[in-house]
Amino acid sequence: MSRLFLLLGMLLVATHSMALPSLSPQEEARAKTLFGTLHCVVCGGQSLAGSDAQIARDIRTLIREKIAAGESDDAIVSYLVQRYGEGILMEPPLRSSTLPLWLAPVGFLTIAGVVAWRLLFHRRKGISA
Amino acid sequence: MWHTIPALVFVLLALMFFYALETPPPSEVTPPPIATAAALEGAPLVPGTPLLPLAMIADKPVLVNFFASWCTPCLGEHPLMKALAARGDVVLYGIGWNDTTENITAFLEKNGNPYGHVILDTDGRTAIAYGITGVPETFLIVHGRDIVYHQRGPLTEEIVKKEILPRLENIHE
Repeated sequence: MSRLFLLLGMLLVATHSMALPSLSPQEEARAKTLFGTLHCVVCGGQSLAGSDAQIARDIRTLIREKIAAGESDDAIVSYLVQRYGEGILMEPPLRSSTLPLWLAPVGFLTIAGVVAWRLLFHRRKGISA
Repeated sequence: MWHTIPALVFVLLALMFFYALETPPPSEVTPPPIATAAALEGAPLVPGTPLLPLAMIADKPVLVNFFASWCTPCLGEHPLMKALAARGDVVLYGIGWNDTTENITAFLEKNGNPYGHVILDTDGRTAIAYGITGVPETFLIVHGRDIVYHQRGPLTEEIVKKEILPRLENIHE
């Protein structure tokens, strides 16, 4: 029985090492950073790092392989953006077309602040009057 | 006056979202040029079907269909694949994703094989090269490299009539 477990364990190690190229600690850190900056393409707001979807696993393996092959982070990201569009980026790039995305939260907060301030101010004035 | 601002913002946002939903993103209309032929060449294949790089059949349009034996919508669109294959003016590539040779062979034996070429994408590389997010997805490719139509999700009779057939007919004119 213990032999069977040993064999199963060896098989697991073998398949695991086959699937993942060995990376240096620095390369592994680069891979982890990239996983955090990219979306899982099928799971809404989740990053590639936390997703268990098959496609996310495949993309993670591909990124590891590309890093092992000496490709730069920019090259890897642009390969994926070319295929999945900019939606794969966790943070949309700052451009004139994406400017509303970046400014909207500030704008809405300002509007909400002004409206809240005016309402409270008027109410207080109404109460004190 | 100040009470109306949140309502105005809501209406503005609703209009923006409606506009964004109604306007297809550019990548859906003209997918980026990708090295399709190379991506297909490297993939292993289900025994019994010849594998040709897309560039070698550049004179005919190619329909690349990502499917899986476990995928119910794939089964739903299968009769449409067979009808397209029967036309004879388009070559069908079936790419099995997240699947096994045995299951794909059994699926095609049971439901009929409309594909001229069947490829098993064992490591998901071909799927990523095409930018697919799941199965089924279908690409119409002309001149061995240009994607002229990309469908995420199953084909329907309406999609075939409105999107696929006019493009096939355009090519032959």
